[in-house]
Amino acid sequence: MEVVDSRVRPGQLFGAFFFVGITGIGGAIATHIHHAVVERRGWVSEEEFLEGFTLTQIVPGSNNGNLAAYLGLKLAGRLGALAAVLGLVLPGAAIAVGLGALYLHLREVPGNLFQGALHGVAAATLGLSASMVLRLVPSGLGAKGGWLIALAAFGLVGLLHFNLLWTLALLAPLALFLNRPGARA
Amino acid sequence: MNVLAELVWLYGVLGLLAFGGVGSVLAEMYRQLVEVQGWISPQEFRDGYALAQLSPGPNAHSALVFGFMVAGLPGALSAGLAFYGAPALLSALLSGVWGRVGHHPWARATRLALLPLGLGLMMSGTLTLAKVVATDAFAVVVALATAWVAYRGRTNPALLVLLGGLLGLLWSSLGQ
Repeated sequence: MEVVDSRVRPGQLFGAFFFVGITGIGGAIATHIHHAVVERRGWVSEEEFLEGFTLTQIVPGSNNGNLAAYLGLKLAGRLGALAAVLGLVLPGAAIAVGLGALYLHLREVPGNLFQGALHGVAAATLGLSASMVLRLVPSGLGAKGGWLIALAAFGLVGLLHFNLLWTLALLAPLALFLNRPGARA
Repeated sequence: MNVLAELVWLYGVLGLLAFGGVGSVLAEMYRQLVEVQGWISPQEFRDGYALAQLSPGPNAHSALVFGFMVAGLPGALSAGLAFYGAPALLSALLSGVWGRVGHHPWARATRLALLPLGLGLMMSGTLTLAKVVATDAFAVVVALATAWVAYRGRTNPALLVLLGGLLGLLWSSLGQ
């Protein structure tokens, strides 16, 4: 694996991404990462950032974790990738586990307010998830056979509780065939 | 199989199938954790997912919360490492070859083909959440209002999540 740029040390990457990890609440974490590595420190150019952003959108998994791995590797090699991902993930992960422990402890207490707050958080999260679906509709239907593929995936996984691996093995080749290079609408 | 090894396997596979983000494997996560393995209850799934949304940083912390519920701190570390690590490894590997294949017609076709799949899986994840969350009128109203505001505006999602928590607190303190 080639190291494109070795000006940046893994420790610096850890620090920069740790700050993003602790201050980046809600969506749009990529905006915080952009601010940290392009605007504030000039470690990568706009074009390099956009290229990495695009790639990590199509790689599965947490897009922001993947962006950190991509940029870390580019700037400081393997240790850099590790440092960037750990820096980004650790603060929130520690808080999430702490909240989990608190939850398991508190739920023995009848009628606690924590439970009520969580109910509201869960409802808001459901709303965010629904709004994400609405936002994805135009791009999802931009592909050929978009409706067919989307409804088939929803029917198999959402309604019939079909195994995800088998669903993708079935539908991904079909979607790829419908959208193969040179296919006309 | 050892429960930690099972968590690593489950979350490694889920991470590598999560095209478009965590929402796309939410339905499968629920199926495995609640229905197939029976490790956690539907209510724990709902609350654990909500807890993860309260935490800063990337949005895949639910793996750590569920791992913790299943097998304590070692469980949290196993699930978290697998869920963040497997795709991150793939990203790092791809960053080396992307310059050569990124503009190939088949690379563009793959990106296009994944979009409707991601949409269908996000719909499935939303349905999974709806089944465990929308259990009373309060939750339905908050979810619909949040969806509307988030879809229409440029409001920070963190604010909406915190507002939901505040409303839940008020609602439950009113004696519900």
